[in-house]
Amino acid sequence: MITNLTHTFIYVSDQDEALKFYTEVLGFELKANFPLGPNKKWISVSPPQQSNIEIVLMKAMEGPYFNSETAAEVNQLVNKGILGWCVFECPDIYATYEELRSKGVEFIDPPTETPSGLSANFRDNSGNWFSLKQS
Amino acid sequence: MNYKKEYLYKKIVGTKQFIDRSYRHEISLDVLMNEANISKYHFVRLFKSIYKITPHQYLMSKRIKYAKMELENTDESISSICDKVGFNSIGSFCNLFKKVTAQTPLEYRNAKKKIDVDRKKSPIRHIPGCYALMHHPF
Repeated sequence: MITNLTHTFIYVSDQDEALKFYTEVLGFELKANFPLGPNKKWISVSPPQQSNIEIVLMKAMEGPYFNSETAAEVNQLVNKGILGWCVFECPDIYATYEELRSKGVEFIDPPTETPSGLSANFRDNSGNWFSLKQS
Repeated sequence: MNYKKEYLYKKIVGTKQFIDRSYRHEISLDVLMNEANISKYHFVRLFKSIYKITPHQYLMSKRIKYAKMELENTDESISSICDKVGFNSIGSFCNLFKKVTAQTPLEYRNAKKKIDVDRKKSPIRHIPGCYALMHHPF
């Protein structure tokens, strides 16, 4: 039986810039950052209070799983800003919204009351969008 | 959100960001209250209602977080790191560090260094199997 989630993956346009965004802007913790060959790195971060889940910041590159065409398509989708990946939780959405906005984070929607509670949507610095919900 | 609430949010968020910037220095409740410009009682109550922990607990968590980073990424002595992240006493730093991480600062550093050495030696062992295959051969 499956017991838990350990890693999830986000495609980003630049791994080092994404690392800065996730650690310095969102306040996530760096879990791993090491080279996996030329121009490839394994970089993962965790939400501050959930260190058992690693979000791996991947760059779509040509390799055994992606040919160059597919890697380019994935990067194009990231750049278009149409990929949404996960839902993050925070204790107070207005405070988090205020803080992230003051750090220059782009919000698609401000905190809004929805049938499932208060939520907002923002983008990372690659263009990926995420939901933010109040716990 | 009404204007008054938004004003108070800005104050509390600003104070939290002040802690983020200044955790290395001595930060008393009075300093935070000055920063927020609201009464002590009101400030602590609002901070806790927003972040679910007191300003002091938040400051301590910040200092431990940065101590962990220093332990992982530098060879500085424990006492120097203790000083650098804003603790006055190495005893209180080590006690709190152990309470939070279940390891002493030295144990934490040694464990991380061991992983680091192993990652350099065999990075493929530190990523999930299917993704290791993506990067094969390594």
